[in-house]
Amino acid sequence: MLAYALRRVAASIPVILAATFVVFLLVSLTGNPVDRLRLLDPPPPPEVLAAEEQRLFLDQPLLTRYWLWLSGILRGDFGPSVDEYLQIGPEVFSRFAVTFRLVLLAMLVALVLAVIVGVVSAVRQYTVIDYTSTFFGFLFLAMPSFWLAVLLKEGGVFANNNLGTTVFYTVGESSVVVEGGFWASFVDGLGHLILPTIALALINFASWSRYQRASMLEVLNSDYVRLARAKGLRWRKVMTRHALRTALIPLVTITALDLANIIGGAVVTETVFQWRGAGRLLLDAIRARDVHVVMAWLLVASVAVVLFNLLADLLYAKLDPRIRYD
Amino acid sequence: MRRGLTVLVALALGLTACASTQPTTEQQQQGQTATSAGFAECPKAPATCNGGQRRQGGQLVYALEQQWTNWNIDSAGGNLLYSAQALAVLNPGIFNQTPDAKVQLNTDLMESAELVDPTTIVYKIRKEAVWDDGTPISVKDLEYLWRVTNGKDCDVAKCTPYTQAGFNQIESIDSPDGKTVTVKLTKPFAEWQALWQQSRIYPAHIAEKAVGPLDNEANLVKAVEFFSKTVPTWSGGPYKLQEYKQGDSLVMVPNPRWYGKEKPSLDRLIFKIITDVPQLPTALANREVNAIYPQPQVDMVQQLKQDQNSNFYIGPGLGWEHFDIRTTNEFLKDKALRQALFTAVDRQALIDKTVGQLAPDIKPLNNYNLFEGVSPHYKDVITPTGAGGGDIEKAKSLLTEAGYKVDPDGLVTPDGKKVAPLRLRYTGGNEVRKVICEQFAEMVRPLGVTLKVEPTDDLSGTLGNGDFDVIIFGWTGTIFPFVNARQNWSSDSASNYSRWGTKEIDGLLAKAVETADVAAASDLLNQALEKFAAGYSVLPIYQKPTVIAVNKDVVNVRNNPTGDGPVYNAKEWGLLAQ
Repeated sequence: MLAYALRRVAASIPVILAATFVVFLLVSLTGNPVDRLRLLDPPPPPEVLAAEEQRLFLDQPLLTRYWLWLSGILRGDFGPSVDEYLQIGPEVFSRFAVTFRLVLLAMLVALVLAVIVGVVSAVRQYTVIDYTSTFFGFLFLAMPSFWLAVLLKEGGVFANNNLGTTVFYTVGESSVVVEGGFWASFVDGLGHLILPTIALALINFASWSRYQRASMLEVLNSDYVRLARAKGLRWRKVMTRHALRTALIPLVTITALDLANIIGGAVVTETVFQWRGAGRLLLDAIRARDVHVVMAWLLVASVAVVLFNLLADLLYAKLDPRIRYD
Repeated sequence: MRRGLTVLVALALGLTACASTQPTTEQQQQGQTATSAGFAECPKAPATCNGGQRRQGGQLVYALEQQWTNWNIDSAGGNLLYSAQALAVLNPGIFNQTPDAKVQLNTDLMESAELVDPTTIVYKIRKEAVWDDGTPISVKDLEYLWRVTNGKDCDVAKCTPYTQAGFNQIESIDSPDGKTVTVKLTKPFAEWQALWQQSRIYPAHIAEKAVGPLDNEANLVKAVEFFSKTVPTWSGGPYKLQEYKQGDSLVMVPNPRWYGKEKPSLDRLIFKIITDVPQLPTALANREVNAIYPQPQVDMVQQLKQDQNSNFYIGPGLGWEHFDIRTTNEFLKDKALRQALFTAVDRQALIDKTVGQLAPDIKPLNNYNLFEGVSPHYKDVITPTGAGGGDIEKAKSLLTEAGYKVDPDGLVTPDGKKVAPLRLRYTGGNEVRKVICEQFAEMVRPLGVTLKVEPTDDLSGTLGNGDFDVIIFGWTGTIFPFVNARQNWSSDSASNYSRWGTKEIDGLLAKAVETADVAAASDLLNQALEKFAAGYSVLPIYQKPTVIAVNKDVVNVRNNPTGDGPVYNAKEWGLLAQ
């Protein structure tokens, strides 16, 4: 298993390298970040612009710039940012910590909901419950994530106005100043967490619940489940021990493969809710043509995706005894 | 066309400029019955509107739209609109730019500042003016900024000032007592009031403590870096920074050593960074922020209109939109064709179809640097040229007189060439600019000229590379117009994207900068601009509006279109007394 994991990690390195090269080219070719200064009215002295281009390696050929970035990475240096005093490494990791907090919580909520709704829908196939969950599943699937986030925010403001107090917050991970100790901070944090978590969770819940329903239906109609019922096992035991365990396998794979999509969704959610996470960092960096920040972001995100996929494969083997990695 | 209609519909939704100032049922339920006077008086009294009696205490959250890591707003990397607003409450300036677009002496800091002769300025700093550690604000602070900016004491590439304007004309700075400062200029400078105003004053003694004596280039470079990467521990303004969360917020509390007459009433002034502009109205409605000052967008205005707990105001800004013609183009190098294009375009119609429905007062702009109602020296330099009036027949006759053959199927030049389609570019995603360009293209179609409307995702690159035939973009105006005018319209300036100019205009622009008397300098500037307008290379369209919105219990926060922005009077900001 360990040898397999190492082989998988080694195989992903060229893929990540190729991705970094392509992204580096694309971001670099979108324009010169120093042009922001040139458009100032009046612009800074030409010597200042030249110094800035030198600092950002923009006076070097494109391939040299890529090599400078790559060799810097090997030394743990992510390169200079357009934002002169930004330490890219610590910034990217702290932003991803915020994002992963949101992503993991949203995944957890989405998974729990998806499994419950998927199983109930399958067990109660073609009933009102099934039709209702199908309706909402497709509704959330069809809904753009930014729109859902905006609707939730408007709903939050409406609720606050009617409650006469602020329960739901629409910007940031916490209030700037919270008075009242730990409990007040906890409640404040929760108030900031609810809406973005729901926004991110609902989008993924929608597709996952459909997978779970289909998978559960397939298992429920399989011979071994029928046999388990026929030999007199209790319905609950058949459901949990025999049917659900098997029906979860496809969901594990889908969840891991969806991580990249979820991070993509987090970019939108963080922007709408103004969380200071990796998503906002990426968008700000793209707007500023801050190639080194984009590259650092890509590196961390792609490593996370590779690791999650690996984890999915390993879990797959754990859940399905037929799978063996030699 | 369909998109244009969409924009019109969206614009039309924002017709009503100011929200009601009556308290809502919800507010009454929440005990927020006190509401400010609102912005109704702003058109007549821009410097006093939304005024009111403040109560002691409370906090006010003001939204900023950009984060930064460079704290030195006098450096090229740190001179950002938003950091400048936050730091304005810590780093004083000699003058203030007020909402009525006037330059006013900062009487908290200064006793006086006078131009005693065309090349001598005498400043008197109040003896009460101190940094928050008790160190007097003095000549040392002024001298530090001069040394890192003048290009002589410190190489410009190393000290990276965002502007050298005027500082590179200072010959000497002397002071017998540290508080009375005599500045000698090598030649007169029309914008002498911009010195230590647009570039703010930093505490030299703190830099000196950190890097050593500021009498050599190496230490000056270190001082610039120190101020760039050090989160301010100092204050010479009404507030001081208590807490900074990187990229998220700055919490300011009253400076206990504040020497000004007006004391802050707030317990806390918070600058909250919200980088996605569309999220601001919701945050304001939810009272997560109490004041916002974003670039106006049609959807935003609609949202603000629905917010019963806030007031908003759309006022004139100093940013302005214009068409630039690239005069190096094979066809557009001919003045007759440029003149015909600008004569055919109807600016009022362009405005009416777009921003005019957002703010009905917007009229075509008729000067490049001096704005009507802002500068007493404003002069209409566009109307006499006949540009922007939408006179198609005159445009046709101009072309005919110049030897062109006007044919709706294609304009033919005097030497028999058919004028090729010209690329008219705008910033992708900017619907207003897109509609304006589409309308412009329609207006010149009867001349036989085809304008192909194309977006660009890289405005600065497009401008810098001259990758356009005609383009629409904006400049940010200022109440210090002379240096900008020289920069933007001189024939050899990289910022003159039309690439048209004359030595005579260059001379007038340079002379205006070096004329101490503002009236005389303005006269020279107007002369230059009249000649520039007659070149038909740049056509001003309109002044862009600004929008400010505040919760109804917020007082003394108001629109200030100048470079200082609304924070010019942050010491007076507060919550309305019940």
